[in-house]
Amino acid sequence: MNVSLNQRSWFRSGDIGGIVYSYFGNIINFIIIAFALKGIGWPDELIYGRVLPGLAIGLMLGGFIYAWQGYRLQKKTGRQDVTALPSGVSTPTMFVYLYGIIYPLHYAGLDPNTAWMAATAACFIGGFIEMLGGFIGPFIRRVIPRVAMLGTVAGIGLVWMATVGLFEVFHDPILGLPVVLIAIIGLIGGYVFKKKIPMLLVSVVFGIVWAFVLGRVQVDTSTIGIVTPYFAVREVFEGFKYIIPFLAIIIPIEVYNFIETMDNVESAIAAGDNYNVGQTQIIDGCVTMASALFGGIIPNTVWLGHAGLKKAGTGISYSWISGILYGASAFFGVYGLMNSVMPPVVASITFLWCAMLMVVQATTDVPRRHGAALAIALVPHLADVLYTYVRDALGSTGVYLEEALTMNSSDAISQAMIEYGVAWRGIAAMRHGAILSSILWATIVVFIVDRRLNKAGIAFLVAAGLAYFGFLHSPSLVVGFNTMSFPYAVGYLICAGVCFFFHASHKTLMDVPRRYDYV
Amino acid sequence: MDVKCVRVLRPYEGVDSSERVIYIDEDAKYSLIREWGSKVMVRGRFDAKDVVIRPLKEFDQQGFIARASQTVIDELYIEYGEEVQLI
Repeated sequence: MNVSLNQRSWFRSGDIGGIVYSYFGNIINFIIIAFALKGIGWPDELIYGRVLPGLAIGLMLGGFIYAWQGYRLQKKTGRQDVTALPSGVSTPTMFVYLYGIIYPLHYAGLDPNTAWMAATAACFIGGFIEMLGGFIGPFIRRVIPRVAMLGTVAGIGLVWMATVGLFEVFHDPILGLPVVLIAIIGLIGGYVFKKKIPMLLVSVVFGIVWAFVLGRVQVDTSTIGIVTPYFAVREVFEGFKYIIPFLAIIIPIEVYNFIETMDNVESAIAAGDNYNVGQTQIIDGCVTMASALFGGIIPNTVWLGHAGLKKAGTGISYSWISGILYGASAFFGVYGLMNSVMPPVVASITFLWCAMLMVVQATTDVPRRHGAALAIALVPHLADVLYTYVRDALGSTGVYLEEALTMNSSDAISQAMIEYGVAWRGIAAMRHGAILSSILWATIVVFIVDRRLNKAGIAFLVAAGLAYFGFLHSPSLVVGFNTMSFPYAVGYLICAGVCFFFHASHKTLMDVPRRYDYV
Repeated sequence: MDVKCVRVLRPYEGVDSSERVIYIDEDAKYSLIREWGSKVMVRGRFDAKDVVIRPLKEFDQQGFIARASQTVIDELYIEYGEEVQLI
């Protein structure tokens, strides 16, 4: 059944919650980016005049195109409850680009302008790789079990979004606890004010007002003014020559990024909106490249949280409205003002809500027997967050461990941690390529549960190949026998052999029941 | 909706056990038919392709379950009460 344009509701009250989620969520990321770049001496003209407008153009285009995708889906299915995909700056990728590419460029002696050119080139290349994911994405989706996709999304949601959300709340309990309580009463308890005012909006407005009352925020209008977008195509191409050594970082993180997009579209499909995975990845890649051409330095992605938005009654219009807000905010210098009035806890509640939905979805939309796969899919993300917190905690005291903590490391701190009983080698190894580890291990467990040891063996072979080339268990792409990831490649090869042996011999050597309930 | 996860119970009595058919609730049926036509792929431990979908009997409609013929259950390599995914 097709629906004509005038039959569709162009704006739903739930769209307000969507705008809050995507707009304010991205502002948090923009604030992090500005803070990080100021830390290495980038001037305000570069940050607010080039970088943030470039990022905003990418998000604006993404918002428009995802809204168009949503309207197409609405027309195709005849359903009025379609929710547009949320788009934003990819948070994990943002940290990798900031601290894995831009900071090293700074420490290599590049001045801010040259480092920015190199960063735009990195972003452009990243977008191109992301676009390629659009062609192999649908194939991967057919091959990889659903719980592996949803499980890795749940893992990211749990360890990054839910924890960051609650940590922020508990950082300032007098401000945070009432705000998060109002949000939970509405979003999970289902309480709604008369005239269906969204509780997410209520909690956001309350959070801002409450922060003013408590004196936690102050208005700063010094950044307001007209900012003209800058077309940086020359700078992007000049930047290529600086970025070649960083391809080993860019390629894996972009593989991660297109898998993240794929996972999040999968999550949207599970919630009922059947978007085309490949098309979405191509959009992501193109939008990222456009952003780079206007000075953006961090790739776009489909954000987590579609299921939460859908549950909250969000429609399509929030996407293009957020897009306009991104652009307008950048071109009128509003980001500095927003930065000054919005307490971080307001964004945190949306992070927490969406993370909860992701975990619930991963447990309910897959066969119960695949629960073990979900459990193991969470572990690499725990390693990732542990590693990051320890690294940053030590870094704040002037101890930098990023390169030192490898399998073969003999540095004093690594050794002290290992001797103290901290399983640091395992944490560091599992942290590198956490997304791929999560997907592969969940896939392997599904195949074992489903009596397909031959396929589990193939998955182990893939893991061995990825480990050998450093996509897994290695901080960078490497090949050789004396690398951090080589022992893992060997281990995975042995596991593949075990799987193939059992698959070939189980009928003669074993009794395998059709159904085995491990819980 | 392109994937639906349902718990499969024993087939209806009197149904030809050699038929390759799965019974699902009306909403899921219409949703899947719109997406894939009258036949779906079912993923259990193994996959069963081109399985015909039919509506559950009325007393089962609110049960959040599916029923499948014995042939399909064997093909999927599952037992009664286990979940499958309809694609």
